[in-house]
Amino acid sequence: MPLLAAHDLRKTYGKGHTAVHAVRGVDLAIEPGEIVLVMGPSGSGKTTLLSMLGGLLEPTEGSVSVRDRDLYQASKRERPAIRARELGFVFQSFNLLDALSAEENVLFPARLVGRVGPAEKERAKRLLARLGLGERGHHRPRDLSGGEQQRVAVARALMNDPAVILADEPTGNLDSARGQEVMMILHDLARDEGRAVLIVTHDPRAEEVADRILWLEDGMMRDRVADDIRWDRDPVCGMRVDARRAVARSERDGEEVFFCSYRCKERFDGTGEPRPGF
Amino acid sequence: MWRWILASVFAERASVLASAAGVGLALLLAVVVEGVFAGEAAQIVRYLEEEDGADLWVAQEGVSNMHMATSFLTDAHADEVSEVDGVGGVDTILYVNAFLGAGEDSWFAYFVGGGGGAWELAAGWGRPGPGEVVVPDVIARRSGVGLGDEVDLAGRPLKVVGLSRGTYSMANPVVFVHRDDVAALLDAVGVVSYVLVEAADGVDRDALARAIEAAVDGVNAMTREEFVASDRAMAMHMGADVIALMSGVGSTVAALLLAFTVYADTLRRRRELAVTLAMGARVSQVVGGVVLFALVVTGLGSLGAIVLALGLGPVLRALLPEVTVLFPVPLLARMILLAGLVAVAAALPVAWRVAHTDPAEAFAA
Repeated sequence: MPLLAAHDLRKTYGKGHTAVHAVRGVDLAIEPGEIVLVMGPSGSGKTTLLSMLGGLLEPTEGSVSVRDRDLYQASKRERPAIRARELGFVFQSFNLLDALSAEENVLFPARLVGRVGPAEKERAKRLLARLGLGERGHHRPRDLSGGEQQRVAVARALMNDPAVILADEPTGNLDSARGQEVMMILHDLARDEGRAVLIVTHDPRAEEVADRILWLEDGMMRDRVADDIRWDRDPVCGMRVDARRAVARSERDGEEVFFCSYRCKERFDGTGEPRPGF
Repeated sequence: MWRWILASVFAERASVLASAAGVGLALLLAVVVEGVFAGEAAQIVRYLEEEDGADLWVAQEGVSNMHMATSFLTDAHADEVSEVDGVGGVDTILYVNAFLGAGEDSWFAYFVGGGGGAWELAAGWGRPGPGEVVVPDVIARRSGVGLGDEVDLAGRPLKVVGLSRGTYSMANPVVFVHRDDVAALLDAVGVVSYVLVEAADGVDRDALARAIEAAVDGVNAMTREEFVASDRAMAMHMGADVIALMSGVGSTVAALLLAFTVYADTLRRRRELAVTLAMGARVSQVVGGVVLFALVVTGLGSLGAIVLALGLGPVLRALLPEVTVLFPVPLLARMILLAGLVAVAAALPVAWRVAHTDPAEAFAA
């Protein structure tokens, strides 16, 4: 049974001549442990699709179900609770609440469903520790780096143990290394915990962790046009790398090898040579 | 949600305190105006409260005030009252509203002839004889007159023999003269304004008032408490329109400031509100948060206004001794209630807007 499914999902803004068909008949099913990437040009309907999948925007037609429960058959009063329990959101701009500490941000979804006791506080601490922020729980978002903020946002998304994680450009505001880190966290959430993860992104590096890549264009899912991607594998971390766009490369036995990051290359070379520009 | 709202308040202390200060100042305007009227009303009835041995006040039938009222009785009425069972003793006063000429100034005042005279003195004595006068020390200071100086009552020269305290109010300062001087001015021999009755020990005053009305024709007898309440109500009634206007102005300014503050805060926080809605907050929780924020800002503003008002009282008394400002508990309680209503009223339009926040805005980059 897919954790997240959409059937013939459509969204039309306006009527008659001025109607804009933002999403046109999208079918989608994401199984437990699966990471699905939705890519596409700007204006292709990615955000509209994500909003509908997240129960935030009523579709003109079609259905969305989470764990076989139809989101839009539920009443408007029930929907917030379903969102709070079943869906975890990760945003491009992190969207942490500035006035709260990292730990309070992580606890926020639990407070929305009214269950915060020692167990929840302990869970928030564990989540932060797991994401490498064990010592940063009392810091406010403004005192955290972009990567740290995004990890807090991921911890927050996990607080209520949701079945589905919806991530909107999760690496959009992060540098290469931090982006890689966040993608690996999302990867682990699917692989290790059996969650369904849907990522909307422009970032080609995200393709490394995806099980499936869906291409949205003009509101419709299309097969991605065969392009010039040449997949190779990072010999250090084992991640898939587009050889034509790899950020770092080296040679082994006269053959070129490609890396997902300079860090992997440095490990491979064992030289610790500085990155270009540093 | 409330944790977040309260944390937001403390996280942005400077802007929240600035807003609270604006709201507080607007409320302070309203409360000071009411405080001045409360003080003035208290001063207007002060003489009635302080007059010695006046457990009951007997006036002409149909008259139940001293402020803005005229009562004519005769010495015969006083004699009849004195013979009613339960009456311990009687005194009479004759009074007139007139101008007091002091130095270059003219003061509209109540000239009281008879009775116990001034109850607190700054200088001299309090019970004037014929041709003598006791004036409020505020008037003496403002007009530059002192003991032994001459003032006049409608052209009749009177010598200042005492300076009284607690007898000044903006509406009706009380000047004590000899009853014969008032009688001569009014050309009304044998006439009195009020009969002041001292009840005998153990006599029920209400019952005594009814007994006096039954025994003496053409009089209205009231206990001191009734008479004071009636006069205070009259004084407040006369100022009610001004109080309402100033309270309205203060409350409106406070409401506008508060609405602006809450609105600006909500706009600034729009993305965060959308995020909370996306994460599963109910609209009612978010709207409740907006109202709570407004109440917190108003609470801080009200608290500041109360502290400032209480601190302002002694300063005003020192700088403007002719102005009496009082901040009784009911007045402050009413102000807090009013502020709460203002907060909710200011928050509602913003809450309506919040209720229509699109949670999908959380995805905006």
